[in-house]
Amino acid sequence: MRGKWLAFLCLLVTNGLAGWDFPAHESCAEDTDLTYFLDSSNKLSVSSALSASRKLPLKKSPQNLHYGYTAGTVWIYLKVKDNPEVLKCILELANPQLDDILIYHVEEEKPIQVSQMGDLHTFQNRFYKTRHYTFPFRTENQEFLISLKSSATMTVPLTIVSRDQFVNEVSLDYLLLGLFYGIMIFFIFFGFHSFISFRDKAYLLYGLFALSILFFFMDRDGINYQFFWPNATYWKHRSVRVFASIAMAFGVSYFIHILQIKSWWIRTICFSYVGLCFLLALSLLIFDPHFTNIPTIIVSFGTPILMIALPMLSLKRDKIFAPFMLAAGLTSFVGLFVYSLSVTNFIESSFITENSMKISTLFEFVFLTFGIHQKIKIFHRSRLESKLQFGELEKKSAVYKAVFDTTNMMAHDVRRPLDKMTKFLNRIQKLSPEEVPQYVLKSASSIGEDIKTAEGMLSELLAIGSKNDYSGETHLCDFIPQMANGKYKYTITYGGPIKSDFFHLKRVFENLIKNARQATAGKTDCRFWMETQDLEKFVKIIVGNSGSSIEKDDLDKIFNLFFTKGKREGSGVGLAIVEKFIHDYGGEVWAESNGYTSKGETVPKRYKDDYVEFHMTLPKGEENG
Amino acid sequence: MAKKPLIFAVDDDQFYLDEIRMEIEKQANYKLFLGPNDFEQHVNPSDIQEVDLILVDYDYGTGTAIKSQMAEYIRNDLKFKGKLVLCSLHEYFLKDEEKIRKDYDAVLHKRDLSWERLEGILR
Repeated sequence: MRGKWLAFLCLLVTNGLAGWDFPAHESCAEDTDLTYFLDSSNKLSVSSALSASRKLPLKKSPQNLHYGYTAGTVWIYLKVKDNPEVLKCILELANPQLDDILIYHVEEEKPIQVSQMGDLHTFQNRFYKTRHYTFPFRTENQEFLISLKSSATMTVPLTIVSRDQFVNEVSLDYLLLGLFYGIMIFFIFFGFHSFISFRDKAYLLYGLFALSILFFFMDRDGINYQFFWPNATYWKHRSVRVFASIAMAFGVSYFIHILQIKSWWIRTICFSYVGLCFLLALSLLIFDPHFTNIPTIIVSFGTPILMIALPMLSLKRDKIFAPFMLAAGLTSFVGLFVYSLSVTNFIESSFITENSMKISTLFEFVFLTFGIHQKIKIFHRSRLESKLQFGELEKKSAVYKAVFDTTNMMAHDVRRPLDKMTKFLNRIQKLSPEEVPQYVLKSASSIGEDIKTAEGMLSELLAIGSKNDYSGETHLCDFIPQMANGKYKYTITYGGPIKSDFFHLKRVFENLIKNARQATAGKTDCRFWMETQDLEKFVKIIVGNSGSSIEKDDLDKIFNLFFTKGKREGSGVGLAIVEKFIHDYGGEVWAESNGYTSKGETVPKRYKDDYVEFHMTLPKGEENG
Repeated sequence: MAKKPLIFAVDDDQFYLDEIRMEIEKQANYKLFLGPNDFEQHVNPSDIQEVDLILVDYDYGTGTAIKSQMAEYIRNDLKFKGKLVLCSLHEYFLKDEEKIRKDYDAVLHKRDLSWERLEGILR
């Protein structure tokens, strides 16, 4: 089987490429006369057909004959002239859908059958192993009679060509087929790839639609018969219509899905049609193809009609895909219509008319693919927008959650002294006069501490929105040791004044120290440090500690109001106040932890163990500024 | 005369421990612990089997009873079979709520702290 595939591919490529090198030879048509007629009643014997043919006037050039659907027999009578050149010629029937081709050689006024070909016979019966039916002239001055029968439309693309010309034609023919199949394979992959990427059933149906269309054309072109089932005559006799029916079924299913048709009656019609297509495919496997001629015509025209009608009904709702599908439907219809006019002899047969279905199919899939491409583009755009919106919502939600967390904690801390006071008042009513003084003494300090905590929390909150007096200066040589309070190791490179009110700077430091204390609670061997650096017009102050760290993803959020990262003690206000005060004095503040900063930078990791450092810059005071 | 129930209470705030004591001292035997560390240091599995109810504070300033896995310690390590009650001034426990529902028999708001409520839980 693999060998057949390889042969198929090699033939497409090598024949196709080699085809361009073959020189054209002289025409053989001049050396033959022929005539033809249709025996609709199918009653003529071979001898009678020969006699009848001889009475008809002979013609020079053969034609692409079309008789439509007929159960009759087409007889072709051929008289080859007395010319040795004729031995270089071949009678060629360019891959028609013919069931039975019988070739008789007239010898001593008697027609003797010399060859039998057609879909009812194995591929091996052919003179040349190509998709076309061929018969070489072996003697000069001879007469031939050919009888043709078909269950499909009776199309007889009869030509008489030289052998060289035939080779050239076949090579070009296979090259063009290869190109056509290659493009179709691209559409198939596009469909399946889109399905794998987006998990949308519509794209799977698109891929299956393209695949069954490819098989339909490969079968119609005789490629499947030549390479895949050369001996399966029963199947060959039916396969084209089976593939066509399956293609139509997948096609209409695809249209319903891609246009997202919701209307019950339209869906019912379409799915009934799909059912009819599958039923037709199934019945073809059982019954003779003659019985399925009418359903085949219905199905052949039904699909392009649905392909036009469905997008027209959806145009208002779907402005992205429906216009492309409408264009595809119109193209498909035109292709089929041109081909039908050709096979019914309304227009003259030509390369374009013979291949109109293929050409229209290519355009049809180009339109459908462009439509899908547009849909995918819009999908990507909306996904990006959703992602951005989701990000925004996530941010908002994080803020709301942080606000709620903080409010919950604040409510607890504010409620505690109130609850204690209520309990205190209730209790002193129950206690004996002797017990009261001792109880008051014990409870008062606890309640007082809680009131202080609640008050501190409220004033921190108010400080966020307050308008402060941003004047005043603080001398770092006094301030830093006071803040270090024996717990922080400090290095003062600049000890002069900075532009910051003492109490504001104290609040900043207190918050940073509190933050470090909470982060390192219960941990031993933690180091704490403070440092000042001279930066010409500014002073850099560093407050750091080891033994704790801030996750890289949280660093950019730590100055956000109410950001606590689930920390019970923090209100999410402290660092927001730090940032506000430093900014208000024209300075900058950022955090650094384990080699990452809150500005999103990566810096060399300064210490082996975990650490957090807050860096602040503040303008120098007047004395040194 | 019916046997008095035995109640353990864990809180990091002495005010509330005193309040609990004054609420239950006439009706129950009790033992009070100033925070989870105190509880862990002074309670062993043999003591706890006699206990009818353990009252655990939720908020310990530096952490919560959920964060420090108090319920797991009491139930799994100490094999306590009695009533485990969470006591707090909080109205909402946010992400801890599901775990609290699973691990504790009841949640008692501190403003409602009274012997009657505890008696109701004990029943």
